[in-house]
Amino acid sequence: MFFKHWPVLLVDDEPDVLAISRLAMKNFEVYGLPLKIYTARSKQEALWLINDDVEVGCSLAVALLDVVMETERAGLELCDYIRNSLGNKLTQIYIRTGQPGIAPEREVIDRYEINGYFTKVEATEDKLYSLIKSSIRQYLAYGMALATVELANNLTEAAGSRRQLLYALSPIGGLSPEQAETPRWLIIDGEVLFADEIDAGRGLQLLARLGGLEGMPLNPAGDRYVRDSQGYWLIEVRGGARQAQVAFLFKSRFAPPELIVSLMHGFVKQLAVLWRQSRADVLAY
Amino acid sequence: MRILLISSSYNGLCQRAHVELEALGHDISITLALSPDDIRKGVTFFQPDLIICPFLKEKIPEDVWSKHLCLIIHPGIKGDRGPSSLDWAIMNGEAEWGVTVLQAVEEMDAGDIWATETFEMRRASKAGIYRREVTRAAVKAMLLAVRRIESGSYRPEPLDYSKPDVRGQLRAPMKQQERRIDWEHDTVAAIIKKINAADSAPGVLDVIDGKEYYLFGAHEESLLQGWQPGAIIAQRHGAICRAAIDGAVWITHLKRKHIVKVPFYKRFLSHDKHFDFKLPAAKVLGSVLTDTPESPIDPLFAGTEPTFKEIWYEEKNRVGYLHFDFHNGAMSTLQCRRLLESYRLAVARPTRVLVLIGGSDFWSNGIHLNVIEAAENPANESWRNINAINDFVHEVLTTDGKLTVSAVWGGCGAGGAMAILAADKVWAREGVIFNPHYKTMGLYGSEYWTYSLPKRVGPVKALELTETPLPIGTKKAKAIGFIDEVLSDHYDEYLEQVRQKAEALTKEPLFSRLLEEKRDLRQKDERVKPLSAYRAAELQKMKINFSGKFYGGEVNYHEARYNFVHKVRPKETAAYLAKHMRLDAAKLSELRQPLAY
Repeated sequence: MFFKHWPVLLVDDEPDVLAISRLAMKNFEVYGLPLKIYTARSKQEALWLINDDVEVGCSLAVALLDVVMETERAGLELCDYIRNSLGNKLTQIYIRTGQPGIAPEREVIDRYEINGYFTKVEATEDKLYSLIKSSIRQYLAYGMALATVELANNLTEAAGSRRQLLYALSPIGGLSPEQAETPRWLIIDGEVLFADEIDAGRGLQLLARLGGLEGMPLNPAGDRYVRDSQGYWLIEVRGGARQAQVAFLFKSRFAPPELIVSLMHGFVKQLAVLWRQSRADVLAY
Repeated sequence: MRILLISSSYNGLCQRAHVELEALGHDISITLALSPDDIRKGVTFFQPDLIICPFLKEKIPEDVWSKHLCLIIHPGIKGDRGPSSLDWAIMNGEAEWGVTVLQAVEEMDAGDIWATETFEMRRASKAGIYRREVTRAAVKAMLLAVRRIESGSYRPEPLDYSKPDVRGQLRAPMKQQERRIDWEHDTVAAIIKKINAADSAPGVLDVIDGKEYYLFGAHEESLLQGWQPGAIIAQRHGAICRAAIDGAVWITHLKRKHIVKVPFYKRFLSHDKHFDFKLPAAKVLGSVLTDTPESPIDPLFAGTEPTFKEIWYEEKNRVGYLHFDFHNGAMSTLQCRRLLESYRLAVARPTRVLVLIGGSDFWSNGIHLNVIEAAENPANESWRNINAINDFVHEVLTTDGKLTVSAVWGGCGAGGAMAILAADKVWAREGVIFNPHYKTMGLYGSEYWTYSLPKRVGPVKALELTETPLPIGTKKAKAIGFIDEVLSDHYDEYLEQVRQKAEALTKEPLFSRLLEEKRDLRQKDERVKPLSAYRAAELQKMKINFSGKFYGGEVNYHEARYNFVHKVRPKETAAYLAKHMRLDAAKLSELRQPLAY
């Protein structure tokens, strides 16, 4: 949600292929964000990069892998490594081969958990464009859905204690390295969580401003979302007898599609209900 | 008895006192001496029969010591007083030193003596002596004092300097002026003594290339020499070698003198980095060492001549012994990679059993938080470090040609406490304290713990150990199957026991049978769930600790690491230590905060 760019890994033993792909993809933007392109010229170099950089190791949106490099199946082994040894099921992996005879499409797609297969001849700039764009959409939707489910699970586990709920929420509301550029606030019944006085004041001001704007309804109960011209978002759940009033305010560098907004609304709604049912205790652990 | 421990920090000695007293059935609560009010609150809520201060730099308020019996554990012989006891003992070359259990009174360290223990001094750093000799003597003296109090009839001995066995005296805090190294006149022995007396705090202040640094980690060098005393003549694995008038001395760590402290949040959000904490010397000096040659050392160093070495190897009667003595047990990415290389070489030797000895103070404490903190991108460095340590643990787990043993003399915590479990057998010295949890650092943890820990202690205990971040002693560790054997608390006896037991394993037919069982078990486990799947699942969680993704990132680890590295004191005693807070605060919150939120 708070991405600055989309990390993409290109692995190919032909330097020209890497250079041309990099050039072609230089100006690609998906949801208004650029790509960050990592390149490796062999499976070994890719492994080194994966072990060296946590973004490549864990947060790749897309990987385009050549098959024949130091060995005839190096690219497929790399795919296996990403999927099974790293346990990364989210990255959209595409096999791009120059020798389809060595790794036939059907066999590869049957045996490896890949998202697509094409030959280097097919890889025109337009093809790359549509492929990157659609795969990042897929990555974002699937990733957000999984992250929301995980968050919802954590909230459910923490239900009963507000202190535990805060702990479960700390990845979202708590300070993080991205916080300076993409600030966010969680406001429950008018109280700003995780914030000092200045930050809380800013959050409440923003809430007042965005709250005054016309928004898009999320459900018949009156929950809605609002977006202003400066990139601030508000997802608002109305308070009631069984739920607290919760506002999730954030600044995003890109406009999340409708589907993502409803996913976020899901967790805000759940938080509203659980908060009301939980007690304010002072216990840790 | 209800015993309240008051301590400046929950350090090794305090953990040991906690574990030992609890094992005797005493009811223990702990409060950190964060302020006089914190101490008072602890005493009021817990109503202890006895207060013990294992490691206390602050004064106890008068209204506490005048109403309750407070015992102070002082790292000095009878009559010794003042905050720099061990520093002076090392500087003065005392042959024997001790620990005294004193009753708290108005004047610092001047109260009646409840127990005392002495020990032979060893040539080692202050922290090393504190962790080994002082801790052992302190626990012995503390338990004796507690027994004496329980007996009800013992009268403590008033401090009387006219008695012949009261050899100590009041000593002022040691100043940097007294610690200063005179490179033109001090011999290697004198330099090492000075650095040892100030290690791990405050360090000896010295000037290198016009800037002031505190020096730590001194080692004698036997071959290298230089013309200009004080000049840096070589570097090795992050340490620097400086010439002295009669040889040379290695210095492993440096700390820049006084840089303004920046609060975590400011520092976290800015991109300015200040390294005002202890780091490998080469990392601190950077470009100063551009022309300094690297002095290589055999990855399986087996020499006996004095030099700076982190990893070395011995072999006798078909048993290999791999030592890896990393400063404070922290293992950086590069150290892990070197250890892996040495381990592979040791495995290739014609031995039947390989014993992982670890270091003299710690076996290992997992990833190197200081190096990570100083890295350009701490999230990336954490990722590299955890992968490097995992590679080593994986190599141990999959060693199938010989038996492996973790022989734990020093303490181990976090990743280090999980890494010992990779070996086939785990033996530990009686006084070892294990901290098999990551929670205090805000991490999920890796090192294949999700495989090795439940395998040894079962899933329920595994969860208990990792969820409640408390230390465990060897008695409990043995009882729950965390370790296999408890060995002597005396160093020479311990080494002999390790040798005997390791050599016994090499004897046929025991060896062949054990090796076969080991291979079968590993194959079976691999079929059920491959090691790579355990690692993948752990790293998926760790990645969220290191750097966030869809909903942003967690900050717990980065903040905890910052506070650890910068020695920021917590605002309150953690609830899992302060039993008195746990009970009473729950009641209070019910009374004062009904659900009218």
